[in-house]
Amino acid sequence: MSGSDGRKPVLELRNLTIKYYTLTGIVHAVRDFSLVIRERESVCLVGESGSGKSTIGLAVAHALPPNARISGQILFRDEDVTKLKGDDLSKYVGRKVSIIFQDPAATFNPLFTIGEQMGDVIRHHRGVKDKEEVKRISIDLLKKVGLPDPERVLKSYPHELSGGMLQRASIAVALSPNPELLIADEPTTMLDVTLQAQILDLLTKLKEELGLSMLFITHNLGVAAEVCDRIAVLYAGKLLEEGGVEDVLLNPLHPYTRKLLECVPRAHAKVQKLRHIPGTLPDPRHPPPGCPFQPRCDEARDECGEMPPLIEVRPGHRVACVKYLSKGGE
Amino acid sequence: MSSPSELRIMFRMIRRNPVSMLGLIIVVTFVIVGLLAPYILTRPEEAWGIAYNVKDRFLPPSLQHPFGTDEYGRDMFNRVLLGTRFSLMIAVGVVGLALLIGIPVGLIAGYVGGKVGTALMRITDMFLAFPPLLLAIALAATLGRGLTNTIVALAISWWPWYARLIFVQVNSIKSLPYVDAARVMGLGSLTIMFKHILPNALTPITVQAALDMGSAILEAAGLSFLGVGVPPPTPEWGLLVSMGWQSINRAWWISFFPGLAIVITVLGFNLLADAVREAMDPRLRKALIMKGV
Repeated sequence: MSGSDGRKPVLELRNLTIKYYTLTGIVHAVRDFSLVIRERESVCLVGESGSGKSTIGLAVAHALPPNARISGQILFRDEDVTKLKGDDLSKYVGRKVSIIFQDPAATFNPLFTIGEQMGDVIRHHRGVKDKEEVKRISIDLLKKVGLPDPERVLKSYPHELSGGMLQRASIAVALSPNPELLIADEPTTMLDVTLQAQILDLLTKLKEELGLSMLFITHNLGVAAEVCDRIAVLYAGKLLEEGGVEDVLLNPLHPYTRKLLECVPRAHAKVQKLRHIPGTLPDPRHPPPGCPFQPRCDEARDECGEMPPLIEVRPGHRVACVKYLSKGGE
Repeated sequence: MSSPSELRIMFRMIRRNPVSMLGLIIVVTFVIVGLLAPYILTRPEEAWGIAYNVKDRFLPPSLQHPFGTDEYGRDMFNRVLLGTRFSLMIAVGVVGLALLIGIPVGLIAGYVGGKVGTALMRITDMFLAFPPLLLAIALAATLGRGLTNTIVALAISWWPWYARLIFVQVNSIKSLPYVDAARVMGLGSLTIMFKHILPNALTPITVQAALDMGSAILEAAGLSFLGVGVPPPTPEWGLLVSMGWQSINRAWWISFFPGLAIVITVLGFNLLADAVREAMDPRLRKALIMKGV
């Protein structure tokens, strides 16, 4: 685990395994997943829908549905948070870690103004009681996320604001407890492209300004390229490849990452059919032993029946593929 | 672009629709008459059933007695007028008490879930297993006749419906993103329950409650008619109907006017409930707001 330049880890996931108990069987959403996020670092979880990336985000934010079971460790500043309860939990959830969701319109209660909902969070986490003080903090935060006319926004109901404004407002709410780690669960998926860029810029700017660490969850490699320092590629709940943004995007090691990159449509390329990866994700209730991508992989061989460990091919660039087992490089 | 208050929107929508307006007028009249009834009676003793006037028995409707007189010669108009008050008390009492039991049960069962939730909902199911009127009759008969007992008996057979309704609502709302968002922002259970879940779960139950005001009057009238409700000589509408029906061939008006009062009031509540439902439907509402209503 090099490439760290001595920054302290904020979040460390160790052998995280998450299962959902459902009526149709046990869904193995995340399997033996390890990852480190350091101070002021943003890490992207990339994967198809159903790869388990959102589950990891929810697990870190303590927001898994009750039918989920966690094993392994989630260390926040060296403290395992999976077993937190009561007071300790409320000092962690929403205070040290906060989360931005995909659909900004749905993250606000339709019956109350933005101001009231922000006020609740500010009062709860900052212990501020004074009305004027709460309002001042709210306006400050709304300005910080680049919302014009914050006074009006505070008095508005969610349905009176546009998607982009709401996403900015929800970022403001997420920032109001002064968190150390921000989880962004596909924060731009529901927005149109011009807004996407604005929100990504905003998040990058805030990250720099406030010294935040970020766990960014997306299926969009372009988004990942823009905001992240490192990328972790997930497939069927397994970590397949992890490394610096440029390493992963320019020199992808795992066949799956390569295929994913081939699927990204390019504007300057000649008109061609959109590429896709044939086949589908394996059934998460019965994950195949060994490499989960093997059934869809062109380069599959016999050894793929056993899951290889992560191999550090380049400093800070690790991959779980048998191709690199003996050679230690390409 | 501040939005007008809920009540204002609702009133605007009701005003547009003559049928809804009729419902509102009926209900408002019913409430006002119910509140003022004791003070606007022309023959209070007859209305309360204390005075008899045997020589005026079975008089048909006339200018002097718009609704005629009953077998004791009491003026039916005054009796029905005063009955409004009892019906109002029953409507508000039954629905209010049922909401008071049903909402907390449904909210806790839905939000807490697990064993507590299952236990609460199974108790609710036990009440739901009886036909409601039958349960109310049994309870009213056990408790004894009287206005309070009638209200209690009806409310006890009534709350499980509200508990169910709220339970289902809470269950669907508690997994909505804004509830998750509130939870991961670390807000407390009480805030989440009372600010994020309950207010959003109230729409269907508001409509149901408005509708049930009419049904409560009807069922209380049924209990009185069967002889387990309010005792005579209280001029409760159901009781008035039941007292008149033996002489229906001779004096139709004794049962007819209280019956008409029940029909009109129940109809009024139904029309109003429909209007409330429409006003609370966000899609219908948005369309109307865009039309500039």
